[in-house]
Amino acid sequence: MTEEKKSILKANNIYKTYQAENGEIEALKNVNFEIKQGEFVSIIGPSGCGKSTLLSIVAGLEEKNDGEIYIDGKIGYMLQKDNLLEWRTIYKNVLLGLEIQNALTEENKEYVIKLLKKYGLYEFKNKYPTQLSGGMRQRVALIRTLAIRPTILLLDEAFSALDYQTRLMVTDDIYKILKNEKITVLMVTHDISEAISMSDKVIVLSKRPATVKKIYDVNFEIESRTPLNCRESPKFSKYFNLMWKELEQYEKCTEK
Amino acid sequence: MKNAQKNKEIKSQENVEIKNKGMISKDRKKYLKKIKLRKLEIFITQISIVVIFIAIWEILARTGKIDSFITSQPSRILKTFLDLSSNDLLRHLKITCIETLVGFLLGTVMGIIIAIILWWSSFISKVSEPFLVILNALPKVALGPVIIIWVGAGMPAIIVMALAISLIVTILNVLNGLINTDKEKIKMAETFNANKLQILTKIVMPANISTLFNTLKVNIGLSLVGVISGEFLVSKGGIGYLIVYGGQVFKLDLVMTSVIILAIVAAVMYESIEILEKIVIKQK
Ligand SMILES: Nc1ncnc2c1ncn2[C@@H]1O[C@H](COP(=O)(O)OP(=O)(O)OP(=O)(O)O)[C@@H](O)[C@H]1O
Ligand SMILES: [Mg+2]
Repeated sequence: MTEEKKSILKANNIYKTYQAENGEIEALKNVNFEIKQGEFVSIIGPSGCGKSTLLSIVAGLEEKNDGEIYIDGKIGYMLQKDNLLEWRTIYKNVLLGLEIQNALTEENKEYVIKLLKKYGLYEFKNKYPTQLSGGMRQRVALIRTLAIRPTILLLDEAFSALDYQTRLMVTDDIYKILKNEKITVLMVTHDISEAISMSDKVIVLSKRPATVKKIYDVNFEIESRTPLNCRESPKFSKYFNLMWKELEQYEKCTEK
Repeated sequence: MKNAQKNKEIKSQENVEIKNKGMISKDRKKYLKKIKLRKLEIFITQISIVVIFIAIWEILARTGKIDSFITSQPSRILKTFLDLSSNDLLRHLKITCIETLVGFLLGTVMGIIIAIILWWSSFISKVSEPFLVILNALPKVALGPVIIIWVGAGMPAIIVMALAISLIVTILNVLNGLINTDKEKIKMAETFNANKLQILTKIVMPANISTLFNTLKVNIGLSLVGVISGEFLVSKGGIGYLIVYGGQVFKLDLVMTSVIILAIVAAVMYESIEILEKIVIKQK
């Protein structure tokens, strides 16, 4: 247990400036962090500070101006909207990633079926996305990402489109799925309590241009911890106040 | 433990919601009946309007209130229609249909291909933008005489005419649809490292199926416009020729019959596309 786990994602001195016709936008300034295997890490920060930019750079969808990203593993990336294709059945939607990566083998199809069964979606496999509730759609989107067997998962406000009640359920669900599949997670959220309830580590970014302000280790010392049960821990509000004060500081500056 | 239970509850609620869709309540039956009745009402009214219009026309012509030499009259139109062979109506109809279909297919295929090229390369798209806008605004019928000089007074000229009228609109409509595909869906495909061709075939094209079919529907009408105006100019065959000819020799029965046949042709072509659309969408 005490043995040091290896780091599988490292960001060193990342800089990003967007060029647009009406000027430059400096989004990231010297961002550094490190994620170890099996960790669940959240990123919080003022709105518009560059969180999505950071994830896109880690995923290789966006060019960086300077710095290095080290990745040891396969990246899966889940966006805020489920983006299910309404002309495909659930099953065909889940296969999309494999299809794009030319990996539609029998073995992978079986793996997808297994995931659908395991997470209660198998009986809906021939339904269309519009026939499913928001929470189920989000789970389908997750399985679509898991189908390509990522070892590192990037989540960009993946739950913020859901209403509060569903969101609690879905985060609990998805947390268990991810722990089950032993996936390392880097999650962006604007919800402090969501970050605390799921993470081992919370990275707080400053306002734009974003740089890492603080990294909190979150440890509830609860056996078989879940996002729901750790909300009941007295430590929860302690962490919450700590991070809220930290964030409030930047939001104030932004308002000025 | 408690959480797991809550979880199951939510899942089973979702199930119930979906199962409910299969059952029909009393209120629903009532509602469905009401809708059916309404549709029937509308249909009967539409038919009545046509019947009354034809009846008044016929009566006015018979009683001499209007001059049937100028306005023709339904019974004479019917007679001309039944006498298809004497006026070579079938041959002309065939010519018009072939020209329209060829023009339509060429316009659609070329239009979609060009739209895809413009979607692919924003440079080409930006370069061609002002030209497309001007060509779109230009009344293509004005090109008629030029076309005839260039390709000769015959079927090719008429097909080019149909193409000229439908092509630019197709390009603009399809391109507009392609460009406005949900950016988030494209980004989602990119998270799986999709290349541009995959984004086109797996996201952009299927997302625009209804745009494509709407374009087809507009196109079939435009091709017909192009063909008829081409036939007016070329004056060798086809329904358009019959109309011009009938007008010149004051055979108003022939003109009216031709116009009605034209309306039927347009309706049949439009309807075929609707049926095709339903088949394609059902297969998905
Ligand atoms: N493609 C782009 N071109 C130019 N500027 C961009 C682009 N994408 C993002 N930006 C700008 O970069 C900054 C950071 O954007 P980003 O989306 O990363 O922030 P965020 O922290 O995810 O915001 P939110 O809290 O709203 O999700 C914003 O000011 C945004 O306007
Ligand atoms: Mg964002």
